[in-house]
Amino acid sequence: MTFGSRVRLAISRNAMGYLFLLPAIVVFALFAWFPIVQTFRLAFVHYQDDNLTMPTHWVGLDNFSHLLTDPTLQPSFGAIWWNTLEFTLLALVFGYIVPITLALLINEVRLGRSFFRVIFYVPVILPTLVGTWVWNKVIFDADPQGFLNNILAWFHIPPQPFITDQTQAMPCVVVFATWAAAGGAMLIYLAALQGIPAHLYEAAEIDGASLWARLWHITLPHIRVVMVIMALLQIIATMQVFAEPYTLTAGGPSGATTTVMVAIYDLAFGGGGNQDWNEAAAFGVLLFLILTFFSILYYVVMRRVARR
Amino acid sequence: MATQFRSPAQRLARRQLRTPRRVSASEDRTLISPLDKRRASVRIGYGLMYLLLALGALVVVIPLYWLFIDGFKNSNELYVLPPSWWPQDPQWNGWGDNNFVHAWQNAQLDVHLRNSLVLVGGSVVLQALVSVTAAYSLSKLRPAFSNIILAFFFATLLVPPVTYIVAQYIDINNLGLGNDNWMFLGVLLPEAASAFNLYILKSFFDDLPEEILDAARIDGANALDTLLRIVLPMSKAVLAVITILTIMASWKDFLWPYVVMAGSQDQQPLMVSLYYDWNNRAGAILSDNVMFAAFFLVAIPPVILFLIFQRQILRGISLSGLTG
Repeated sequence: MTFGSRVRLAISRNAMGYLFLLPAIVVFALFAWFPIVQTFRLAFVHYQDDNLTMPTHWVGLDNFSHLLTDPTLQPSFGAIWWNTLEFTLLALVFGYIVPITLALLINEVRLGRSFFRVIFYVPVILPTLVGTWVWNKVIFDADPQGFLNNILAWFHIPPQPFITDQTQAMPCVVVFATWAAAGGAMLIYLAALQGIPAHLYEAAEIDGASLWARLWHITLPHIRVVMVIMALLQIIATMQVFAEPYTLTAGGPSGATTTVMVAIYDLAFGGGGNQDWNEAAAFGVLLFLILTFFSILYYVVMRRVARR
Repeated sequence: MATQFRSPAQRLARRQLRTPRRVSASEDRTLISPLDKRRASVRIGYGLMYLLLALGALVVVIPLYWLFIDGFKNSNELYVLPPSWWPQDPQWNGWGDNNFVHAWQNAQLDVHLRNSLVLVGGSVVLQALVSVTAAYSLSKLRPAFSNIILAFFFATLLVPPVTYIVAQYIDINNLGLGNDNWMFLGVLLPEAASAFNLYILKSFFDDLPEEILDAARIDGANALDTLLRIVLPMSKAVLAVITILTIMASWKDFLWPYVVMAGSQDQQPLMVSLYYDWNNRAGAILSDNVMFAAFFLVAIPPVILFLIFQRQILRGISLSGLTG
């Protein structure tokens, strides 16, 4: 091959390479990088009259400080973060216990294993709205004769207000979210459990290890890495929760289930007369910083796992 | 010729995407051993485990049961408490007159189904146009500076799109994608800017043996030929996984189309439109039993898809859950 033809080949290879990259570069530049940068700009400027083509002026941290004291924000800035934290922590606890228990049980049973695997995954594939509709209308019916209250009555538990009560609403959203999502985590734990080599259990048994000792010293250490990864993924997913509280409880009652994303939505698109793009963008920047921190943590963990 | 080339890589592809074959009894050992099972206490525990699983299955199934059965009740019976397990006066006057048909007509499910299908189809097409081409280029063509471009794509994985939703909305409006039927692109394009499938595809393409592509190149195949005739046929399994997951996600999608299409009923997909119906869209108030029927109808397609493509979907969970 002559030098000239080699150069031509390199050029044509690069040209083809970039031609194939072009759609993705355009789409990512316009619809990922540009809005990301724009979010930061929006958070530090003020648009005049909500007219997006009007000139803007720099206001420094004004949008952030206004968020802290904004009287139109319902509930307050602090309460919104508290709600989000409550959802994240409760969802983490439920999101650990339920899927791991299900995976451990399903892994042990022989008969009906694939049946249970499919059944528990069905809520995951359903649109969130379908689930929230039924739970809102039937399951969490606050009437003393409502579905869940009827079942509680079997155990002589007095009727509960569920989603109509400020303190119970968020746990209810978490219960629903767990119902809707546990199947996905269960499958991942199940895959991890099936990767545990059988000879470890056999060896432990020969050494006289009890069932609990085997669970504690073989099973759990083997799924520990997956548990860490799942915790991070879950924190990232639950901190940005929107559809569940928005459609099940509409952020209420009295803002008790207004999470950060619900608040951002209301600020930007809610149309309640207190619309403020810039405040919404500032809120987005705060969420961005927290979620990106956890995302980076996730990739650091994944890299370590991959290297082992 | 081509088949000779293809077979080793196809075998590789299959090995990667195959669900584990049933292992023999001795290998299929879990926490509880056969020896344990002879103990009475363990056997009782085993029974309890089934009981727990059955209870869990009930918790999953009961809301779905109400979803189905309440679509058959009349407006009075729907509010009878405690709720009746079986409709006393089933609303079924034949296939032409029941809550499901009323839902189809009054909620204009045909219009919104069309919109949903446009979004589902569009997301699959854009998937091919954006992620497949980019993954192929980054994995096999590797033009100059492709590592920098790779970082440019993958860095976006660190930033959840909801955090820049306000700027994204302003962006698509400034680009003129917020009006009329351009809205569909306004929904689709930002969602195509996700490096998730790009990442999965690239790691799959990376494992395809280079020799096959070199052989094709020597035979005079250009980059497009190689993609269409060699790379894609060898990647059928992973493409199936990604496509089915894209379809399911697009069907469920709520927040972004809800934001973009807030003011335009005619363009709204099913989920967005039904949310407006739920909150009594002005002028068209649907009764709750009809809403139950409507929600039941929109739940059918994903369940059917799941039952048909179970293997691909379950496979996709472990692919996306742990590699992404």
